Amino acid sequence: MKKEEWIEYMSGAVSEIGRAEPNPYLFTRITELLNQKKVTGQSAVKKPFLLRWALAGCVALILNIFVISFMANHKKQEIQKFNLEALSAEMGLNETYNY
Amino acid sequence: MQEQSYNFEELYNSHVSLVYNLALNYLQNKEEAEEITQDVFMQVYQSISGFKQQSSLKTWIYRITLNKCHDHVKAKQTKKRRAFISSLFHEDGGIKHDPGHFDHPGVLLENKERSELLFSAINKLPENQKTVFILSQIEQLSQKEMADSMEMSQKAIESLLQRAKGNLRNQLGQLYKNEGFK
Repeated sequence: MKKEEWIEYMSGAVSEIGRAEPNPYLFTRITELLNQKKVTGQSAVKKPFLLRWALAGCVALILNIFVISFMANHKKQEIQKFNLEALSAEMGLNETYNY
Repeated sequence: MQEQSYNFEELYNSHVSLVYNLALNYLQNKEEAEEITQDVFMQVYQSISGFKQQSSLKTWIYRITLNKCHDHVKAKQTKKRRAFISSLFHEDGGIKHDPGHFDHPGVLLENKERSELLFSAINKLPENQKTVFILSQIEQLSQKEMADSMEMSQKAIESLLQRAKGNLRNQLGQLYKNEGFK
């Protein structure tokens, strides 16, 4: 068969596609699913959404606490270091001697 | 409550065939089409109160069906990509994803091979062109109905359909060459 003829023949398959009937129990299945959703409320959609926000909030809080405690610790160490340096300078201990 | 469920049943009975057949022509798989039909009617039930009657109920339901079909195809493609990537990192190598075989109850057995090849060419069209081709050539929708369902102008639909037909011929020509039909 030539290319053009073959393309026409293949395109003709469109007109031979018939209508099909869905599963007769589909409506029952849909109403059952809708009733299930009613019983459990709309939580199926909203719960993960709320949960995600709650989780994100927790993570943000933990990060904040961590940063604040780290900064406080760092500051404390710097003050201690500064005090030691000042003291050593005062005592003249920052010079090294080779004997 | 009872009145609503009665109306819903009526709505279901008058539209189930169009939803199911559109999904079937889009996905060419019986089980997937039933899944889509189920999702569509669940959404219709939940959002019928928000339906503003700016378009007809039929085109509104068509639009929901098309959106569900597009989402389904996208999810399937993502799954396929993931399966391919994971197959690269596993020793057994084979792709475990099941591509969803051709199972169209509206196609007679003697036409199955021909229709399967035709649909494989249709599936290679860009999404908008595939949609417009199915709506016009298989679902036999009018240009106005197609324009409403796809939220486009009739002129845009017309040119999209022309491009779809041209591209489909090219795809079929390619198939003819690749498969070596004589």
